[in-house]
Amino acid sequence: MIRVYRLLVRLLLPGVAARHADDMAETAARLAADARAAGSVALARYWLSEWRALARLAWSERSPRTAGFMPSHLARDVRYSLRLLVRTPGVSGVALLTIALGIGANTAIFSIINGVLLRPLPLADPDRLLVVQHASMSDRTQLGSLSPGNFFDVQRASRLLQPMAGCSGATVTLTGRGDPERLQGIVSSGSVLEVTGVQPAIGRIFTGADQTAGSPRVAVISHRLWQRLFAGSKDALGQALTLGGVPVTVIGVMPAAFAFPDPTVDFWAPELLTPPQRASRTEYYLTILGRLAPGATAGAARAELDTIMAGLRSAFPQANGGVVLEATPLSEALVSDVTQLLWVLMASVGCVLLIACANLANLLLAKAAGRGREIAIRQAIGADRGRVIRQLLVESLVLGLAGGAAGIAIGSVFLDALVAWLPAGIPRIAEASIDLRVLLFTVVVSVATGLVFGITPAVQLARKAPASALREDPRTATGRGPLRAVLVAAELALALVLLAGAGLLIRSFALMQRVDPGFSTDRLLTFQVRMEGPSYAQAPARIAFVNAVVERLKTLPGVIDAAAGSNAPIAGRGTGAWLNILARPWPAGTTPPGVPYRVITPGYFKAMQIPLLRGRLLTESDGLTGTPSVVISESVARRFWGPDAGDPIGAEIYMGAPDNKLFERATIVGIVKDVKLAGLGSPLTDAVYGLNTLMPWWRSFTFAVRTSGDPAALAPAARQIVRTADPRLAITALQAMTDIVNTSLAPARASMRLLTLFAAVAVLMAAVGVFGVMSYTVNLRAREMGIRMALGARPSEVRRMVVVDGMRHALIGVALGVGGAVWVTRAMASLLYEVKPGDPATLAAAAGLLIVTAAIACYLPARRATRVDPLIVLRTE
Amino acid sequence: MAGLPSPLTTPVFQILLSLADADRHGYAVIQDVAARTQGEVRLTASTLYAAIKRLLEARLIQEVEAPAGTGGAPRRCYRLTREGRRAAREEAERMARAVAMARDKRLLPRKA
Repeated sequence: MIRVYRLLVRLLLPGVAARHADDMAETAARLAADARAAGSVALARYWLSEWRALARLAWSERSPRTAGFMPSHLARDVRYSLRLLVRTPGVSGVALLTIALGIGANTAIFSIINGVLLRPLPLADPDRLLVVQHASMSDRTQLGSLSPGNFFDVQRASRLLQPMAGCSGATVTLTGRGDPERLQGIVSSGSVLEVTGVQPAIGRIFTGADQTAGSPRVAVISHRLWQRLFAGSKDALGQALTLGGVPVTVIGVMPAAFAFPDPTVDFWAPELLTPPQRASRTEYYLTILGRLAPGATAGAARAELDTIMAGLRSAFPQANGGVVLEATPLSEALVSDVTQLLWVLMASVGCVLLIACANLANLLLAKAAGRGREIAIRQAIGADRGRVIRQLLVESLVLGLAGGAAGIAIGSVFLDALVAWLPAGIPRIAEASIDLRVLLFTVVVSVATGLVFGITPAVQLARKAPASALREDPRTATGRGPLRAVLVAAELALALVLLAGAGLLIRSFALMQRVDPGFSTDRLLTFQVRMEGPSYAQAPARIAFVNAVVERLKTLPGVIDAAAGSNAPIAGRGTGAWLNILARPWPAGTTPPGVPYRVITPGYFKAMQIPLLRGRLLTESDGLTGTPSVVISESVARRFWGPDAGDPIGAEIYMGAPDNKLFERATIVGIVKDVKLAGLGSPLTDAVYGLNTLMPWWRSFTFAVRTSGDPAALAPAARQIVRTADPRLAITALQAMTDIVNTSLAPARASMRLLTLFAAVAVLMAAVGVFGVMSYTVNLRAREMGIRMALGARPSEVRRMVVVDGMRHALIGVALGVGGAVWVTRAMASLLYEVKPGDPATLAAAAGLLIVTAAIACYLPARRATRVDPLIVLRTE
Repeated sequence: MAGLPSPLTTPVFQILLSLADADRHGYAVIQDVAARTQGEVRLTASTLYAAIKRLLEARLIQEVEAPAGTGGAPRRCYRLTREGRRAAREEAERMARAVAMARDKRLLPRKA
């Protein structure tokens, strides 16, 4: 609110704002805080008086100037419009509220689109930053990370993308400063900070010299971490932080506004790779960030990357077969997951506003009935048609702009609600605010709104010949003809499109909730621990720690079972590697498919309640002698051993590249049910499970504890067990499995809720529109109804006549809406799960609901029509 | 009266009164006026600073830096100038004359 206030002060009171804007905002903030302490009523009263004072001052400051440059009749039109608005407070109030709500919702969503998608990234020349990823050659989708070998080759060969850095995320434990905690970092080959072009607040950024073999470990920390650990002291430079058990020297602090790639990052550090690691072409974990060299264009850089990749494909066919390099602007790459959702929401509130406009146009048409004579007199005494239309348009524009002004205030409230409602993790959502661009958008929308709902009544009124208008009965002067029915049909069509969209998302969400995750999520507590530091340099120490924690967890009261795995199901894809079948090597020059793998403890399947389909589960004795064993998911069995490829049980496999294997060889001993690895809506279920003795290098484990009671109640005991086992290790992501499931459903839930809300508002507005038009029609035809009933028509016949008349237009609208929905919902394809855009059942349900709603909206005025007393009508005549 | 029309508006007069005994920043002026008038005059930030702008232009008040350590308080304090003190006194005398006239007309009780 304070930001809006400061912005409006700058816009409306430039003379005062020049010196006092900041002080005013601070004073207003303190007054608001005082008022808030006295309760929400006091706060509302405070803001009301503040806005009123601001508006009064703005008016008194500007009115002399405004009158000076405005043509006198335009100023007069505005004043006249304001007087008219005040004279009919009921109609004006309803119209104003409708516009304010519509524009407020549009303003709020545009604020988010502006913050997330449109506002330039706070980096130097952000338009020149490109993200380079691997993509499949066939359709340039399925973007993935690069291997270090490929990255260094691309970095050496590229002339148009300089400088360049290959980055990956890193989560490490900070120890030695109170309780151990996990920090989020970005480690990079090449200086990612140099590529962003942002200078540190203090100290320096790391350079190539910090990446040579044997150089000391250094890091640049975020402003947030600097404040938290060092209270903003410059003495932080040169101090050591123990990250992952290794001392790392702080050499710089980034500015407060620097949040690359997002605000959760605590540090940036150079990655120190050994020569074999630098040469690896089978470990894919680097995302390239490159800056276009001076004079280079994105198109030329893409062409250069194509050439470089063609060379890499022929030099390393197995690692790079079927792979191209795809360069995406950084601003797009950061938000690619939410772009479609945000534009769908924007289109939806746009539809709601259009429906509101149609309703207002109908309202003004009805109101115009009483103004026919006034307009006729104006025309009779010399006003030409253009002058009359302009007067009427000024009236609707004044209404639109007043609604827009109120919409800004409402929008700032909606914005807070929307940010709270949208799923967490939308990049840059913290930057969503009402700034100058949003204000400009709101002004444009307000003007457009005023024109959209004002133009029809204005033209309609001005078209009448003055003489006939003066002769007409004001009760029936306007509103006849198809215009109002056309508006209602348009409203229904738009409402149907929204309803169909909401229906598709509701069905998707319902289907997603019914998905079998492949294991029991009931009463399961999970948490992560990463084993870092010299104590865990050797595999036996890691295996012993994991087994000890699991055994101690099993002894807790109420615990049914416990186990550990490298990743929790649902929580994410995890790590993958090529799957190679020893008996069927992949043809030379082709790349085997990658499959996620899970490192587990022996009791994992039992604790997670993942059913065994064939063969047997892994036991502690597996691998102690002879060939180690693995278990695969049924989708891996289906994918790699189709009907003619023999039995996977007993087959021997290895994972990884021939020169970089996760394990030498293992025998498949069992097939378990598919588990949803990356969320309920994700199709990803391929998995190879191996014991931690088979893949002993793994350091990070998710522990799962199944209990007979409330899993959250186990949290303190679980934390204590880890602390007792090793106080230097941090516990993260301590949560019930149901919370992980809920988090995975959050984006679908948020989009469904929002679109359903907008659709409900749209249907309500459309119903009000139908009701308004039918009521108006019944009023106009009261005499006819009276005569019909006097001549013997039964009430049911009159009712049917009115309903049939109304439903004709409604059905046209619904039919148009169905056509529109089939076309428009295609844009939502990526938001849907197991439901196709234009799904006939959903469209039929949406159309049915709207038809019933329209029928009720027609029936109510029809029932009133039958209450017309024929005698009174005839006597009036 | 150095550019401000007489009689002074209530906000302007109250601001001058508030600054008569101490330098104050905007928020403190609003607090002082509300306390002294038992909440009868509640200035908003917009009204206050619009009045402050006019008072500065009329040289009835001047800006001084706010002392350090005033937390989130506004950055500038305001001080009554000699002209400002004279303007406030003239306004108070005008009001006193009006009160005397009201007493003569028995609209107010005579002083004991």
